[in-house]
Amino acid sequence: MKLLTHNLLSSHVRGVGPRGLPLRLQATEVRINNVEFNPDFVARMIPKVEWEVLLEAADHLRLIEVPKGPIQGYEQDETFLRKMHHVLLEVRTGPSLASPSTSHPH
Amino acid sequence: MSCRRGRPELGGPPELYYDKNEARKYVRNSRMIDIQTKMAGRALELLDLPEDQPCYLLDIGCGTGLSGDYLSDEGHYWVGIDISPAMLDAALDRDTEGDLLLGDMGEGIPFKPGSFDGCISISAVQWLCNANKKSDIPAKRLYCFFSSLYSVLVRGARAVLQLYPENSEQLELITTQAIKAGFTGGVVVDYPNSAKAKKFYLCLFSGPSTFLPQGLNEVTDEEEAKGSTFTTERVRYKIARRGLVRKSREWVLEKKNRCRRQGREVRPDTKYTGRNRKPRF
Repeated sequence: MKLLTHNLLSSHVRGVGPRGLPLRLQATEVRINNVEFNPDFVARMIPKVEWEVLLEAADHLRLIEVPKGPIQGYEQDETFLRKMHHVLLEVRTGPSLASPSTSHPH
Repeated sequence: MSCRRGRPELGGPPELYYDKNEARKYVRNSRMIDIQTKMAGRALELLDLPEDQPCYLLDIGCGTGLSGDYLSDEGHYWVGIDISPAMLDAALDRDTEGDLLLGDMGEGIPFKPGSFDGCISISAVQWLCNANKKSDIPAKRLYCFFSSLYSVLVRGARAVLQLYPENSEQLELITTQAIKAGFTGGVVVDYPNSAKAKKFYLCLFSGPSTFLPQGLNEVTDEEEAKGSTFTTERVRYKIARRGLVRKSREWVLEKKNRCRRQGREVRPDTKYTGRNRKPRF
């Protein structure tokens, strides 16, 4: 699963945390898939990212070079966007099959 | 989904119906792949996304990821949800681009509000109309599905859901629940005059209502049998005729009505319609 997907996932089981966030990542393997870099898309996704969740997940996966938060004028900053692209779209955790309804005790 | 065996919805819950055998069909059968891809193309066209902008889409009932492949080819990013583990395993084997989630759409879509720029679904939503457990209430499950779908879409986004409704009541049930959840929009019917190529697309808008796209109407000869048969309509017609006495006034009126519906030239109904002639004739 991409970290972007993990970041946007929330549990619809009622009474889990304030907003059902975040789901704990249970990664058994981490792969890097090369995905074409698309600055527009990454820039549009950045406002949606929940940074605390992302940093926690990145910490769990022992990723380095994760930006600590959005910086000023990130739409033009290509190095920042490339880093985010790598973290959000290229890092994949396995198994891909996540079952949001059965992973109840978060 | 062949017509000969009847509707797959009647064959039990989807997570059991779409087993390994069924999943294999969706990977190997070129005709099925062709149809699924075509429908995904049409759904994406109806979604009317901004040009040259990669979007983050949701595919409900993604199955083996055939529709998702089309989305990836068009340069979009997607996440798929399906209830059948066998279909998702097949999708994993095919190494699809998007992320896959195992989940029941009738229990809601587990994402944060405003996550997706659009949603497509190919031949999945009609499954919600069937109750496979005693605790399942189709209207409730549909409402839960639509309301969570409404929240995960960004404001102004669209959802295009291709579906095979069993009859008009089922279609009405689905649209009612969608409207109740806050959507606007309606049903687009492609090839309405063809029994086989006819396709229903439920186009839902989460923002202000805009125009509804037109259904395709041109006759293409290469369309193959894929549609469902609308059995209820036929049964109702037969039952309606069964009680009538042949040559009675009601029978004649009904027959004249039918001819009128078929567009033939029919004499108007008068008090003399269906009367016996006097003996002097």
